[in-house]
Amino acid sequence: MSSFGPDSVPLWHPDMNPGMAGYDGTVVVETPAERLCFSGASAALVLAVARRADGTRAMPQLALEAACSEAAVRSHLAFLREAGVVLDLRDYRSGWPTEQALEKLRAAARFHNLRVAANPVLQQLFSGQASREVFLGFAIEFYFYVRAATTYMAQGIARFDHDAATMAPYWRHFAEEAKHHELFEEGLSATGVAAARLRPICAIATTTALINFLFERASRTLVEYGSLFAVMQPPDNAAPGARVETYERLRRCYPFAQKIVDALERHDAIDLGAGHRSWALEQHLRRSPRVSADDMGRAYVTMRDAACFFIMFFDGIRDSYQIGTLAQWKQLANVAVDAALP
Amino acid sequence: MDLQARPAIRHVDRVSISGKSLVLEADGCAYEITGVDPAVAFRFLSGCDGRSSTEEICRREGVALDLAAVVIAACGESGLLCPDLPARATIPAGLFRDILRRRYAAWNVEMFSQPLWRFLPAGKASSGLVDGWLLESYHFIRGAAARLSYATSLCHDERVMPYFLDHHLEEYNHHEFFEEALRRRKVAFAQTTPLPSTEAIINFARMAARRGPLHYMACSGLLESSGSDAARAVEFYNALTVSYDGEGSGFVEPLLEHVLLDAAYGHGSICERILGHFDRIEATVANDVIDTAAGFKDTLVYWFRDLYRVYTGAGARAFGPASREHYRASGRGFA
Repeated sequence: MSSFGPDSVPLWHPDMNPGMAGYDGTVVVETPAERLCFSGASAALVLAVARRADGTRAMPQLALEAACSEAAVRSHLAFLREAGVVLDLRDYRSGWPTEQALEKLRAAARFHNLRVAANPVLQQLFSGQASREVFLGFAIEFYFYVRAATTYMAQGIARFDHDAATMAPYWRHFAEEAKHHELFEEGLSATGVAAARLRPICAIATTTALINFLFERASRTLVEYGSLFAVMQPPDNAAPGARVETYERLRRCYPFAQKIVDALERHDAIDLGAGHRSWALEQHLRRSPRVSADDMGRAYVTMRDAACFFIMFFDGIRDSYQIGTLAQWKQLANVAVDAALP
Repeated sequence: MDLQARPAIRHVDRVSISGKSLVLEADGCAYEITGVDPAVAFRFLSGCDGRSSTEEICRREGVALDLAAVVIAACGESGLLCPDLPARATIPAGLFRDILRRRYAAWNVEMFSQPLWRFLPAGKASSGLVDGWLLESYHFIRGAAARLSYATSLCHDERVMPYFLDHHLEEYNHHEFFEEALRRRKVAFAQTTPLPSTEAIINFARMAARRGPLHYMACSGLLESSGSDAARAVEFYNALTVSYDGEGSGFVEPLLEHVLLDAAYGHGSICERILGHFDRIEATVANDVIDTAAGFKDTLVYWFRDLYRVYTGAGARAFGPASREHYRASGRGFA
């Protein structure tokens, strides 16, 4: 990874703000993997820099406003970047040799995956603390999202006319995903969700927004299409035991939705077995010695925006499905009724 | 009671269970159902879509036939329900236009009762919220080409296409009114990125254009139905001047100019003008068009809520080139 320089534009992860711990002035930054503790001058620096490293200030301005030396800020940020807390936005405004570019894109993918992972609704769902309504709502909306592969992935692979070697991983990926929604149909039906409720028009506004976003970005460039999967198929770094434990916890906490959890687990296992977490985009980019500044920017913006739309997706589920059982009803238009009852 | 009859309830705008009664609001009337378990009554009525027989609904929803008979009789008498809906392959275009008008009226009430629209004219919005609303409106209007030109390019119905084309030609540069308003409020907009929910509105309109010309027309009609009352718009903008323009920047003037220009173009009557070329509409198409427009309304409601949430209180970071990096940040998300 290149070092932070004068034209670096650091971005502190907005879901990993530092906090004070105890009474000795220790400052703590919590990441999903570890707890980073800072004391003394480092604690003050971390507090001052975190607030200002919002992706708009270059290094000299950041150091000046934080009243710290540039060298001190640089060394702390380098450490925090290794821990996934900080990203340098400058990295995505220049072209790089391919391997270096891929390393920077993987860092952005991890960063924005954690934006989604920090969403309180997602955390509530997977910790087993969501209400019955919210979990069922999640299952219904997740079904619409999985089913949408037949629109945005179909569009993505139809849109681009690169050589077969470049496109083959994308073709295979779509072929393997195209009917995954059927796994969920079975689970939802067993939980009592009527088939009529699963018509795509019944998706809530935020799910539709996510699906439309995926379609639009799949229509632009192959780099953008490929970058979507950086957030949708997060890199596999969970131990197999942890995955088993997750689904067992979901079965314990949502006993009414056993078949839905089965479907989630099968879907996950199929994706894992098919290697969908390895990134087709990497194979594509490796075919050139360098990734251009334009492609770095496109890939970064797509990952960032995909995270935004997934956050919107999860927040929308909480907003729409906490009103009670009535939320399960979606009345569709029938003009014959309007004609009969003027 | 005819078990093979296919009962259907009106389009319901809101439904709630209040104590021991079920309340359904439809076409401006509130229908209260009492004397039966409201949850069971709701289960039965939610199955009354005119496509299933009474017997099928009772079996599927686990509702006793005698209870169904009581609900059908009471709701049929009050006009909430048609006890046996005749199938229809088509409806007259004029009726379709009237249905859309009725839906728009109810949807506008829902959309403009959101906090954003209560705070703005009441003078209770922060300066940041006014700026944010202007900025997101600018981004939305700037997307006219992405919506209208796209709809024009996809439209193969000669009865509709000229309207989309004219609408585009009349709208494509209207972002300039908002640019001027933003300049007068000293809001730097050139480097800004719209909220994801603003992008969602544009994307939804594009999706509607892909579904069909009448789908896009109905979404466009909803947008224009809210802005076509020039007198109300003038009143709204005058209230903004009083509450948010103490410095006399005149930021409202270009916005007023925009409203009056749209009114002169007659954009508020786009559905009437297009449907005037149709005799009858296929019922399946009409249903899909209405459901699409309803989805557009839901997306607009979400936009208004998101805009209010992001630009109120701790929304200072929402401005500037890194606004999406901070979208709905949870703070210490992993503590």
